[in-house]
Amino acid sequence: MKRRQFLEAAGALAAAGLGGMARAAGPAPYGLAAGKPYAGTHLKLLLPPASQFRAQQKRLDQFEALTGIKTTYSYVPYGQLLDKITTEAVGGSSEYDLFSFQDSWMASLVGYLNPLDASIAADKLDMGRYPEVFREACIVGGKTYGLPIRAHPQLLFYRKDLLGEVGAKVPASWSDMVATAGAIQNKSGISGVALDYVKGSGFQNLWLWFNCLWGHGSDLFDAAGQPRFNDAAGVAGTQAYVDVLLKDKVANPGSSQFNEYDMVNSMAQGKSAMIMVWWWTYSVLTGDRSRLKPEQVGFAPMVRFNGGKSPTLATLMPFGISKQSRHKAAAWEYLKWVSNPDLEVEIVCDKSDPQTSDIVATQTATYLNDKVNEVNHGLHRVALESLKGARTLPKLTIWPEVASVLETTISEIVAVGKPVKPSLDDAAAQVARIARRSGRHRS
Amino acid sequence: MKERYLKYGLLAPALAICAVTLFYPLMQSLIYSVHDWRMSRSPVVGAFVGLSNYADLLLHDPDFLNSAWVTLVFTVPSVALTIAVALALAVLLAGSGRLEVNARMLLVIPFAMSPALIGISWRFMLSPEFGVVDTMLKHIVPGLGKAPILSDPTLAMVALILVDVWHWTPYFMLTFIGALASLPQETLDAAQVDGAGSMRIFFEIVLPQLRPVLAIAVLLKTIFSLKMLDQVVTMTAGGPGAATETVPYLVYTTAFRYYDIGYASAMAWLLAVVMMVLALVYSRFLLGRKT
Repeated sequence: MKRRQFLEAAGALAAAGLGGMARAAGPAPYGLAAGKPYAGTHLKLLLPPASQFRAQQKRLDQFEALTGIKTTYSYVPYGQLLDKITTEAVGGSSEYDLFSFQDSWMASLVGYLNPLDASIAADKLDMGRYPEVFREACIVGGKTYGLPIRAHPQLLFYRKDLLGEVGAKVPASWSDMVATAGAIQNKSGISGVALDYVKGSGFQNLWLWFNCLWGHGSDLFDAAGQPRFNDAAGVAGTQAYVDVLLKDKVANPGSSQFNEYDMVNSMAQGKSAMIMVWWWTYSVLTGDRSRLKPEQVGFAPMVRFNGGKSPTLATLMPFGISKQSRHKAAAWEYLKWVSNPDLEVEIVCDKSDPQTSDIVATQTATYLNDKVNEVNHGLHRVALESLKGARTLPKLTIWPEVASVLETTISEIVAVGKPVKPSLDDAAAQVARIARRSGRHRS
Repeated sequence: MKERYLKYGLLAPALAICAVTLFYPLMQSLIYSVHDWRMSRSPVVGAFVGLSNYADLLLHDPDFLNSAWVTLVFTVPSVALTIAVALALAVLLAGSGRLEVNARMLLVIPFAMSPALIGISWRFMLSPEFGVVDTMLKHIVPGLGKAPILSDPTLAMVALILVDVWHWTPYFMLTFIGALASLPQETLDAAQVDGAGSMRIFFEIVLPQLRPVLAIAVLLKTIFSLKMLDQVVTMTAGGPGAATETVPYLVYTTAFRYYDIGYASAMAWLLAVVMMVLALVYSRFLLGRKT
C-alpha cells in the first residue's frame, strides 16, 4: 500500500469513527442536529481565496462524517466577490447556499441574506465567544446576518533591528510612530514608514484615515445623519494622516502611489521600517517571498491617539446564508460546525502545510489560548489588545459611493496637494448629495 | 415578388441577432435610465423618475462634469498623437524590405496585448519603488528617481495617453500602410518628374489621397478614446483624485460598484449620444466631401 493510499484509508476510517462516535454518543457535537437529518444535502459556498478557507476545506470530511452534508467551496477573487454575490442574488439564483462577504457590504446585502437570530436562539449558540466588535459587525437593523468566521484587527509591524539601532521603544501612539519613523530614516536611510494613499484598491486609503478621524474625536456622520468629517476634529485628523508624507516626510515617497499590497511589499523588501496594517500580513512579512528574517519582524498593538483611548479599525468577512438557498437548515448546520472553537484552534495551530497555514481567528478564547500563542509567537494576545475599543466600517447602503468620494478626496489631498479643509468640505457636500439622491443613508 | 421577399428573408437572421444583442439591451438601458433602480436594494426596477437622472447628471453632479472634461482632455491628444505617430510609422515602414517587414511585426505586438493586461503591466512598470521606468529614469537623470508618476495628476494623464497611443498606434499604422499601398503610383511618379520634394509630395499628393482613410481612422480612434475604460481601471483607477476618471469609468463604477443602474444607464446614454453625434458630424463633413 502506498503512503498516500494508507493516509486516505486512515482519513476515511477516522471520519467514519467520528461519525460513529457522534451516533454512539447521542447528541452531536457543536450543537449539530442529532441523527443527521440533512444527510445527502449538498451545500455550496461562495468565498474569496484564503489559506484559512483552504484549511477548513481540508477538514470538510469531518463535517460530512458528522452530518452527512456534502459541502463545496467556490472561490472568487476578493475584487469580484461583491459583484458575484450581487449578480447571484439579483438573478434569484439558489446555486450558492452561503456567502462570505465584507462587513461593510452587509447593509446593501440584507435583502438577500437570511437572518440568523432565530437559529442562534434555538441552538443557544454562544455569541459571547466573539469580541463585541465582531458581534456588532454582523448586526444590521437589530438582526444578525452572519457569523464572524474571518476577521482582522490592525497591528503595527516594525523592524526590530532598525528600532534597536536608534534605541527607540515600540511606538504606542501616532506621534511616537512619526518620531520613531523619523529617527530610523535619519539613521538608516530606509523610509521610516510606508502608507497606502492611492485610490482604487477597495478604499484601502481610508483604513488608517478612520484611525486618525476617530482618534481626533470626529466621525463620518453626526447624530442627525449629516456629514461631520469636515469639522475641526476631522480636519485635524486628516491633516495628521497626510502630514506623515507631506510635512513630516517620514513616509516612503512611493506611499502616494502605494496600495496595501505595495505597502506591505515595501517593508517585506526592506525599503520601509514600519507599516500599520491587518494582522494577516504577518505571514507575508515572515514568508518565503520576504527579504526579512522572521526575527527582524516585530508586531505591536495598533498605535492610537488620545492617550491610547482612541478606537482602532477592524474588518470582518462573516459567513451568511443566502435568502434564496433551498437548504437553509443544512447551511445553519454548516455554520455551527465551521464556527466551532476546536476547528479554529486546530487551524491556527497547524503549520504543516504553507497552503493552509493561517493565523486568522475570531473567538476571544482562541486569542488567549496558550498553545495558539506559543505556535504563533504571541500574535493573538497582541491582536486582542488591538481589538479593545475597536470599531468597524459604517454599515450604510450607500457606503461604496461615500467611500469612493472619500478615497478620491484623500488621494487629491496627497497627490494634488489640495488643502485639507476645502477638500473635506467638497467631499461633505458630495456625500450629502449622494445621501439626498439615495433618500436615506443610515441603515 | 419572390425576390422582393427573399432579400428580407436573407437579412432576417442578421436583423434578429442585432435585435437581441443590440437593440433590446439598448432600449432596456434607455428604460432603466428613466427609473430609479438600485440593484443593491431590489432586484426589480424601481419607480419611474422621468428625466431626473439626466437632470441630476448635467446640473448637479460635479463628478460627471469632471469626468466629461477628463474624457475630452484624454481624447483630443490621444487621437491626434495616435494618428500622427501611426501615419509617420506607416510612411517609414511602407516598403517591403526585410527591415520594414520585421519592424512592422515587432511594432504590432502592443496591439496584440489585452488592454487590461497593458494597464496592470504599466502600473507596475511606473511604480516608484519597483518599476523599471523609475530605474531607467534614475540612471538617465539621477534626480528623477522615485518619481511617483501615477500619483501626479498631470503625469498620470500623460502616462495614460502615452500608453493608449502605444497600444493603438500599430493598428492604425497597418491601416495606413494598406492605404499607402493602394495609392496610384503614377501620381507620385509624375510629381517626382515635376521636381517636387518628398515633403511636398507627402503633404500635397499623398495626404489628400489618404483623406477618406484618415477620416475613418480619426472617427474610430475618437470612439475608442471616448470609451476608454480598461487602462483607467487597471492603471490609475481614475486617480490621483479624479484626474483620470473618464465617463466610461464613472459609468462602470456607478453601475457595478454602487449598483445604481438607473443613473449609470443615463450616463451611458449621454455618452452614446455624444458618440452618435460625432459619427454623424464626421460622416457628413469628412466622408461626404469629394476627395
